[in-house]
Amino acid sequence: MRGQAALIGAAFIAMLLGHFAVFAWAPVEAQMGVVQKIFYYHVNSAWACYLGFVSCFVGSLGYLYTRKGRWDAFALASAEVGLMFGLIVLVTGPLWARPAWGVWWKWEPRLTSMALMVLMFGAYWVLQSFAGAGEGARRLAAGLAVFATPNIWFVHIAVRKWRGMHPEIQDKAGGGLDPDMRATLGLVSVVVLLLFVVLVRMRFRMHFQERQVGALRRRLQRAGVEA
Amino acid sequence: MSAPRLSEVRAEALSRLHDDTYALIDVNLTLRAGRVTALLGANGAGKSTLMGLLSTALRPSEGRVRFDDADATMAGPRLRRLIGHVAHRPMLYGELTARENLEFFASLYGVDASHVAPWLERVGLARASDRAVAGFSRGMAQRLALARALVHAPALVLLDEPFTGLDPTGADLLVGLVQEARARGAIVVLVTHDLALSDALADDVVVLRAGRVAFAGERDAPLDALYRAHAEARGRAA
Amino acid sequence: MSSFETFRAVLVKDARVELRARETLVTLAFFALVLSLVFTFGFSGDELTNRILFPGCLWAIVLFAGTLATGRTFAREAREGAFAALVGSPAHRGGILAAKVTLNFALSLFVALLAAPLLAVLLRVDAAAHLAPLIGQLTLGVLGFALVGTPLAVVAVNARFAEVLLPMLVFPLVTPVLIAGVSATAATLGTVPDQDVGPWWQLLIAFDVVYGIGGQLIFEQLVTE
Repeated sequence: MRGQAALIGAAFIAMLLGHFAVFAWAPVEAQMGVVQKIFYYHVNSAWACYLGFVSCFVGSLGYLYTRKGRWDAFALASAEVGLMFGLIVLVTGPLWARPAWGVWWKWEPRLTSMALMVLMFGAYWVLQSFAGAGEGARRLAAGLAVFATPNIWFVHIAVRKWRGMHPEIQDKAGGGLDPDMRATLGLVSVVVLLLFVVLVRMRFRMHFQERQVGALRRRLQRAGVEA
Repeated sequence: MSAPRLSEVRAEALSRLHDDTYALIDVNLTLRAGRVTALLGANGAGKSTLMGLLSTALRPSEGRVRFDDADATMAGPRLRRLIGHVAHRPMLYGELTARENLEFFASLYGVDASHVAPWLERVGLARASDRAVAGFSRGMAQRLALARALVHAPALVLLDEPFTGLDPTGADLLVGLVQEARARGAIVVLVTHDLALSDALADDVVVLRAGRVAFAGERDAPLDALYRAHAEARGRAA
Repeated sequence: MSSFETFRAVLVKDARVELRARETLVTLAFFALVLSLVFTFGFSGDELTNRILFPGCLWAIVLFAGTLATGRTFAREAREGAFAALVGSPAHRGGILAAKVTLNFALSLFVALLAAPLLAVLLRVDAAAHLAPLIGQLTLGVLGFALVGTPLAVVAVNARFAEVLLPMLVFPLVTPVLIAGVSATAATLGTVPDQDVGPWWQLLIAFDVVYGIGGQLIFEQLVTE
């Protein structure tokens, strides 16, 4: 409990520091102005999203092989956090695209793959939430997550080739980045990682405790008490 | 007759969850070769779940099922070959004929197609053997299901309410098949509500109540009496 | 029973069942016909427009039909509970999956090979000149749909709303195949300038390999309760 509170506190403070660094410390970009600062959030949310989905993959495999609830809880928690960051990417993308390219959306490789991944793991989340609490439904969800994850790679390649080879944007993580900007990017990435860990832990505990309630009921049943 | 390939099947601290409730709790049983065990219990007591676990269709949530020394969850094809299971549904392909169904399942168990015709004869389906199963009555489908379950001379025979749909001739046939299985050393488990018919067959009795074993032992009293004593009694320690 | 023997036995049995039932084949054929007509009436224009439309329309038909086929074949087997008997038998699980995938693949390819010439005629696209590569692309793509849809159909049978669920799950997963297929077909027909077909073939093949192997690896776990 203590550890959890300390971790949340640290994440909160880190977040404040991060916002401060982005808005008050990092230099304003010459061409795009303040809007460019979305980039710090957008880029970091992207890898956090992928991390969430890959963790979901691991958790789902674990569940399929062991059938222990904690793996499934971990998979669901990771997917939820991944989805959250994915949605951040999909919202910040257009917010940046409008001033930069003049359109809200472009079928460019990264955004399109992100949209599809959010769709796939969104389906996973819907399954977990609405298809019933039974083992069969959890098995299906786990199977879906396992099948969806290799797709991250395929979709990315497919969309990149589909939209041609032209360098879509000044590569966001690319060269020519001001050292202060790079430092800010690094700082925010640490913040995001901290946030990721904290959120997954919290969601995991919530889902796992839901199952614990079920377990308590089961223990009462074992003792012969009608619950 | 070949020697029995299983000398015993044991359930050890076996539990199975269904969603968040226990369908079976802490079941400990030993089933021995050459004996017929009647599995009794009220509706919902866990009989079909236990059958599912014994047939390896279901994985235990806790505990284990042992086939001699092998753990059933490690069950590979080798172990599954020893099991014959008649469940609630006939589990047959409606578009195929009786013969085709039996030939298909026989081939999966490594049984040569020459055994099919005699078995169809045995269960009284010789004349219907080239008719599509979709047109079969419940009783005919049940006979075919029996043939399917027994064609490979399994060492563990699991019959879940096998008398369903059978006319008196069919019931006699079933009794004969069970006796035959016992004689060749198989382990037979029979779930039934037809207590009168099963009375003569059962060597041992297991009564389930609310997922637990309420009684397990030799059939030294009529099944009817045992059922009444254990399946529905309330407020008694298990 | 070895893997191959299981595969052969199950496939023969399934083929026999499907041919006797006939409803799936007929439904799919009608489906291909109707969709082709709908797309033609809905979208067709001048010759250039038609050539641009052709790949997308064709692959859309193949996708829908493929998913329909997968759902139906499995629903029939599950309805009578025979699948439980199949899984409970000593039959090799990988062989069962391979047989089911092959069945769905064959049905979907049947639709594709029906829809392609039909659509080509309706849209007045000269696809005949590129017959071989087109068939190759369709084959690989349809295989991809089957490799993803079949294992999921097997597990979906347990969940609620299984019929509605399956397309919802399968469509996003086969997006790479769709993109690769449409792009490859477009490149073959020459509707997109400067398009190199090579990478698309690679993607189709890679997808099939990954999901073919992956499906086999995970099937045992998907099927055990």
